[in-house]
Amino acid sequence: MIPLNLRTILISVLFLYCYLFPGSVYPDTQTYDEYAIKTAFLFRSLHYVEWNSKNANNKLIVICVIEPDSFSKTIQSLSQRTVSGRVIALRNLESYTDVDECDVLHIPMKSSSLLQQLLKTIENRNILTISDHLGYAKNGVILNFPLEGQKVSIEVNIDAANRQNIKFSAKLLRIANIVGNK
Amino acid sequence: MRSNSASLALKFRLNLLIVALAFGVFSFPCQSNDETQQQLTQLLQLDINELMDLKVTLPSRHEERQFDSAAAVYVITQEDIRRSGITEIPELFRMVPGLHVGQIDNNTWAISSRSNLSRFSNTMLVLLDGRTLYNPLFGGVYWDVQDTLIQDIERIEVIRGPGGSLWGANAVDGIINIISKSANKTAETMLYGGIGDGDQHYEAGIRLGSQLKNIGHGRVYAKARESDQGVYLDTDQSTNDGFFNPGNDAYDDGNQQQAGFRMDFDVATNSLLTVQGDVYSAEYHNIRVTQPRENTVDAKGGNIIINWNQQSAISSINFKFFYDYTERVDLVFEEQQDIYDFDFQHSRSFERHTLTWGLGYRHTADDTMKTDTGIFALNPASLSDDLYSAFIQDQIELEEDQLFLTIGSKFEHNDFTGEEYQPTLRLLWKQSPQATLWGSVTRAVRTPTRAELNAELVFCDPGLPGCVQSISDPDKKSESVIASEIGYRSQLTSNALLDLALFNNNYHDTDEAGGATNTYGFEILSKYIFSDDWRIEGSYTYHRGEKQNNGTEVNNNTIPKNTFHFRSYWNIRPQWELDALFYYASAIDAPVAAPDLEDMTRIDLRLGWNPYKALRTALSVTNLLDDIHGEALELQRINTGTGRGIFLSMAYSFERK
Repeated sequence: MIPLNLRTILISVLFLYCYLFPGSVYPDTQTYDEYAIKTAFLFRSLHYVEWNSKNANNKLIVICVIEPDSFSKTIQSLSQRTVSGRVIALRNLESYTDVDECDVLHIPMKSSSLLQQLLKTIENRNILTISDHLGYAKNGVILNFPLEGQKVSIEVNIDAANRQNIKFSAKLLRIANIVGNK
Repeated sequence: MRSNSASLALKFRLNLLIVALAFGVFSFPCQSNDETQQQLTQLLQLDINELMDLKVTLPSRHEERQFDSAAAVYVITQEDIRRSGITEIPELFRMVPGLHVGQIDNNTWAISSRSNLSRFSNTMLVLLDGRTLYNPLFGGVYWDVQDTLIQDIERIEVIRGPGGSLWGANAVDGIINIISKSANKTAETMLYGGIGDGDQHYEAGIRLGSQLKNIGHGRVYAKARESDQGVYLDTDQSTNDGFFNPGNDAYDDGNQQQAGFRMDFDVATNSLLTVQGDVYSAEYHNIRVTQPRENTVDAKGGNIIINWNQQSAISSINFKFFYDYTERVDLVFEEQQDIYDFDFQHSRSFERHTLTWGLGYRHTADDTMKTDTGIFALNPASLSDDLYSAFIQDQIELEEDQLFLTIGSKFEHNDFTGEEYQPTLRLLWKQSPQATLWGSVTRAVRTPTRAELNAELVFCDPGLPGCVQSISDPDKKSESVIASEIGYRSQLTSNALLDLALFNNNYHDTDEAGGATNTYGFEILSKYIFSDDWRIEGSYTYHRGEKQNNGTEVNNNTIPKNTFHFRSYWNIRPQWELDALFYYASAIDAPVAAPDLEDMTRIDLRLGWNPYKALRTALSVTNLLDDIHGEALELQRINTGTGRGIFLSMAYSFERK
């Protein structure tokens, strides 16, 4: 059949290459760790959040994690950084009933029924719930950073935010995907 | 006295040198613990609008799916491949619990799971990007010519146990699914090369990857490698009549050149068209047990795959076509095969059901010739055959997010044995997000190969008048298995994973002796992450087999009873990696006529140095203990062994500007 040797192969490759990629192309291939991007998003977003009914912890923004996952692991590195004069503090808690001092609560992956149950437990406490799973904003999490294709997007559930008495600045709302409860 | 102090001074200087070297190695400036942290520091400076445009390094999402699958699944990632230091695909399978890897000579492997291990182990289905590597003439896989750019493999999914209901015949004991990276993950130029001694002589390759203006991504690659010789073994392989001196270099070296391409077109949102192909040319040597002994295999081949996939939240459609050409000539037999394969799959979810169905058609045409030696022939010498298949499977969510039942079957019609059906029943219980329990009962079949149906073998013994001829049974039926499995997976803590699988396979063989084989055993795997910089993994496999011919138990041992595997990945410093692999297989008390195999211990070490993100270097030592062993029983080939091997490699990648 076709005579194959190294030289023919190399020539074919060269030919194929010149044929496929004529001229110069400038591929934009710089990619970043998914959770690094999500954490940076969270950090930026915190600049655009107002907690209306919490004044006690004014010097701190307390981020609480109960069940750790990949997202919450990178969030840990936000500790001690400042957002509009407030210092970020991380708390690893035991239970969803101890969330009183939390300003931000990380929500891990759950089955939808368990998620509803969890969100009910923390109702009306002026807590910003955050997650990074597809569909979680629709299911009641306030601020969600799901992966869409190869990019991270921001979703805000306005109804859920209102119920927790949390306000976002217009700048964030302009770029976020706004969803309501399903 | 003077000489004494001089030698003392020398000793001191040597010590100083060693300390300095060690210090040099271990004293690189400690950057914050890893790459993610560095990136994060950089990203925290960005404005929210800038963040919107960043692209994520896509991790494979299979770990999650793997945890929730109702089968014994193991995934070899690109990181596992890179850090193993291994350059040949079959050698990678040593890290998979429940898989047996037997190297016969330096370019021939026998790979099986849970059943007989032989060069033509014919109960595993092996796929590379959906293209079957199963050889319809003899069964098994010609591992010597199965290659690709190893750096461009995304992952290898290995499923132990039958998968016939989805994958069709010959997936009796397992499926190996080699998946290459999509072209958008390889949009860089990469050059790599390595030289070594003992196992591989050299290997060199180039990949040119790029964005295709507005339509997608593409890459082309070429590689060449040459494997070293092993040594003859001191076995009592009956026909090794002292002709080959144990310890001498064996006639089992080889070389291969290969090139290929892959293009991924973003046709529309959620729709992907992939076109890819490879060509190769290889020459391998091996030693036959009977004349002609020093054998040369010349192999060539090529393939093209076109795959179209459309995904939405509730449905997915996949259409695949591939063509594969194989040509192989040695001193005893010549063969050519063309395979054309069409495959369609549709999956759709509604309410509690996920329904998947598919249709397939495969046309195989072969052309064979016996050589002047007249030892082996197929009759008819050329044959075309067609395979039609259909499957349907429904996954039912019995209890929301907790209990899943999968029921389905594959139906096939082939030209040799007619209709075959392969049903399965699987149950998955997600006890909690951290624990899953699963079980299954499956029937799978292995259809006879051309060699089992149409072979004509002639043995001529120079000491005896005349020749003995043996003709195989053209009416041989399929072999079937009923497999029962049960498994448990648990994320014990956020750092520890446990994965356990038990199985019992009842084979019904239709060979002349009316044989029935039963195999059973278990595989246990555990992973532990100490920190971002150190993780370990270990597995133990216990496999037993019993065979009865007309009620009498016969020795059918071809696989070790106990296999133990352990590996460790350690980032000793930000740029330095020290990795180790330990592998043990117990002795095999072989059936008559085959040599017994002693137990074996193998240790591989790898030291990686990545001074820049673009430059990766590594020094690997394989079989550190130089424990030279036969690993698989083989009656037609002289077993050889591979001693300590050393390999130095370097890979450099950069974007084309």
